[in-house]
Amino acid sequence: MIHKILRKPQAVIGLAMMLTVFAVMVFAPAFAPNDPEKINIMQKFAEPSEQYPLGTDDMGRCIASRLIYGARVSMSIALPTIAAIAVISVLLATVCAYIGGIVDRLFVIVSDIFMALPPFLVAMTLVGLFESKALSIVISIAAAMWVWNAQVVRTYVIREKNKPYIITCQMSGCSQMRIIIRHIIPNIFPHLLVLYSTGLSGVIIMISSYAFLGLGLETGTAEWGAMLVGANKLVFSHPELIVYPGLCILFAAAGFNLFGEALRDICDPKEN
Amino acid sequence: MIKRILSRLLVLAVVLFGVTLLTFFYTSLSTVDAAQALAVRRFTRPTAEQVTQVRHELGLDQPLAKQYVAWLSKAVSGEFGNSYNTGKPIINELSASLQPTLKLASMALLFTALLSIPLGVWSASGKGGIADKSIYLFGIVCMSVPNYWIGFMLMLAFAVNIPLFSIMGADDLKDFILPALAVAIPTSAANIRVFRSSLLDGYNSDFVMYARARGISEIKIAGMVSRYALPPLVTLLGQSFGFTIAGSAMIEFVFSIPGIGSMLVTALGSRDTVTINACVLVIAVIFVAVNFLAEVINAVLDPKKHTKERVYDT
Amino acid sequence: MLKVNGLEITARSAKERLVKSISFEVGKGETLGLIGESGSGKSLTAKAVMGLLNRRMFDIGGNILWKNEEILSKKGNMPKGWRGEQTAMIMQDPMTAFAPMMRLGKQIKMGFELKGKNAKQLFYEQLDSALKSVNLADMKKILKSYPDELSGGMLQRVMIAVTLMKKPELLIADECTTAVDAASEYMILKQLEQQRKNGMSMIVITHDFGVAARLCDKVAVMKSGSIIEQGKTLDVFTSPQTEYTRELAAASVLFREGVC
Repeated sequence: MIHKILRKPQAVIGLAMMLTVFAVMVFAPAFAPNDPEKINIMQKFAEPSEQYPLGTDDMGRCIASRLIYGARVSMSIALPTIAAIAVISVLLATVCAYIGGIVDRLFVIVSDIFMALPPFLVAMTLVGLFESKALSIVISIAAAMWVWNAQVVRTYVIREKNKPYIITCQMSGCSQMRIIIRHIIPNIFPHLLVLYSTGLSGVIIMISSYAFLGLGLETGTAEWGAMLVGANKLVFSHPELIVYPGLCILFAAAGFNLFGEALRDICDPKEN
Repeated sequence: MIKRILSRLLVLAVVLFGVTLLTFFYTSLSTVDAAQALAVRRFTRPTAEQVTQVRHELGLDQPLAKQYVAWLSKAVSGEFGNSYNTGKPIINELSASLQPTLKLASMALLFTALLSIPLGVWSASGKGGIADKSIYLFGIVCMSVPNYWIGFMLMLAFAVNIPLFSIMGADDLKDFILPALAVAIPTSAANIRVFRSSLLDGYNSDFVMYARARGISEIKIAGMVSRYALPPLVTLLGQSFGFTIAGSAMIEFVFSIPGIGSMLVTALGSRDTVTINACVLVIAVIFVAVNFLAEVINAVLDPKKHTKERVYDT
Repeated sequence: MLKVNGLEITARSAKERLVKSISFEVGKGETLGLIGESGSGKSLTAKAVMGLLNRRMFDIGGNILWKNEEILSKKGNMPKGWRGEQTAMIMQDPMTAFAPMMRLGKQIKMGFELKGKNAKQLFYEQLDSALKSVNLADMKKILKSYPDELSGGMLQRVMIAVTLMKKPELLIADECTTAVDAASEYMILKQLEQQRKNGMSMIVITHDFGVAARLCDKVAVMKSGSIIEQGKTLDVFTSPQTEYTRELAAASVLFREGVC
């Protein structure tokens, strides 16, 4: 599988972008030229210089540093969120789909009700209602999104469950647990990877959206979406303050999307 | 067919009921005490008695279930009470702010359809070609940015260099063009993929081959394939209308549109629980209703639900 | 009537030659059997003759002559009226041959030009008798049904009835008895024999020697894209030239005599 991935240029590019984002996230202090939080009103809207590679914002803070640390903020919220969603949805969906019967039907009915609410709305409401902590964002988004992911995982599990080799396993006396762990999950794993890498890019965008609205994160946090707050007034005077954070979001989300979509093409070669 | 619509209506009713429950439940999770907050606003330094008095006024000392029933029975008739924030009846502000958002969402839906269908067809028919690949890449880029950023970019492009569109307010329809476009672009990106995929499936299927073998004209075949490929797209379009309304807050901020999204965010900021409840409920109801409408349309196009059961591409 | 000379079919993406320069002829009123295992290229050949192959996916070389005129063009369009009027095809899997989301009546009508009330009336009368001839008496019910409401055998019979209504000069039957029950198979074979008597030319694609023996004047055995043996049915069956043909024949006979 790794070979197939490396052969596809789109996957390689996406992977490279993902790794770049991870690198920036981990080594932010090494990359950032200045302290992202340091306010220096005297220097506001400074031109790009050696000290401030991309100039400064309306509070005199170094834009480049804020963008770099922004990667840390976004990813450190996004990764736990997607991990939580993954764990919940895979556990629930696999168990329900595998057991089948009433449990599965109940699951479908309950998730239909949960899915009647637009997830963005639910997450936004939850984020707005809890205290402004990163953890509340994680919980809110996870609570809103798990249903949709769970439905998809359930489909994969059911499809896998009905394949002849599983039936053979059951007939030869394999226990349910063993089948799930050793056969079903490894075989749906590529599809899950696709789901969660494209999902991650969606979460990054959601986080930036809530930050843009002023919900969830403390004001002034160096997060890409938050950096766009109040940008209405600055659109024409200082467009770069809007363009740069957006490009960062674009880079990060696109990396995951490219990789995920390329992976999807590998797993589901319907195009031929 | 009538039977099917009726049974779906029943399911709809149950779902709506569940939605009201969930809405109320979610908003009751707030870690902030609404009575406290309101008391502070009224009395600056409220005593314990005053807080209790406020709590009693708002009916917040009742058990949750009772609160829910009281709220629901009033909400059904549009009686949402008064905002904790402004003290004025919510229903007025609600209906005022719903209008611009609906206009935005409708226009966005139109643009999305206008973008998705032709581009989907173009991608599918030129499969593998330059047009297909470019649309795909451009689509991924558009899906990787928040729609409000696209809004900003559109602003920069069209209101600065070409002062064609205004960037503020919600007075004429003209004001909605840029915001609607900003919403439509990322949504279309996903839709194009799905539509393209369904079209390709349709054209590669046996029934198209057999129809061709019978000498049926390509135009009629295009009609058949549309009936096959449109349902997933219709579902997505319906969903996206609801999503637009749900996520309208950001675009409204960018373009200064006084819509329901902004109203909700303001309410969230000031912990105005009643208003939050009202907004969420209204949005959720619209979402469910539009999805239902999409289902009805699909039932006409594809009475037997033979095309892909559910499309999971978000 | 139909002359195929050096037909070559190459898959563009895999650059694989799937049909390697085959030639055969079908005279007026003659029935040719294309026999072989799956993957031998028989379906591809039939589709090429019909003009159903996507020219962007497949490269087609060689000649296809109908009544001594070349019909295989560079661009891929067959002459007008080729499909549906002069030739017709019966597909292997009847369940997928019809569009699942439309009623049968509507789909069937799509293949006919019906202008005016009289034309419509005539159409329904002809359809009725065509359906009755394959033992499907209730036309109204069939027209109102969706494909999944009928059995495979019934659908196959509908397919044949509709096909024969147009009175094609060449009929291609692609494994049309493989996917159906025994009773329908009997009905279908009877119909085809009748058409044979009426002077229609046919290409019957099958892997079943029994069917070939019954319907075909001559057969061509295909393997991996080439015709390894061709000739009068009786000759090929009684004295096969190649080992492969011999084994294929033996397998078929064994199944029919031994197991059934």
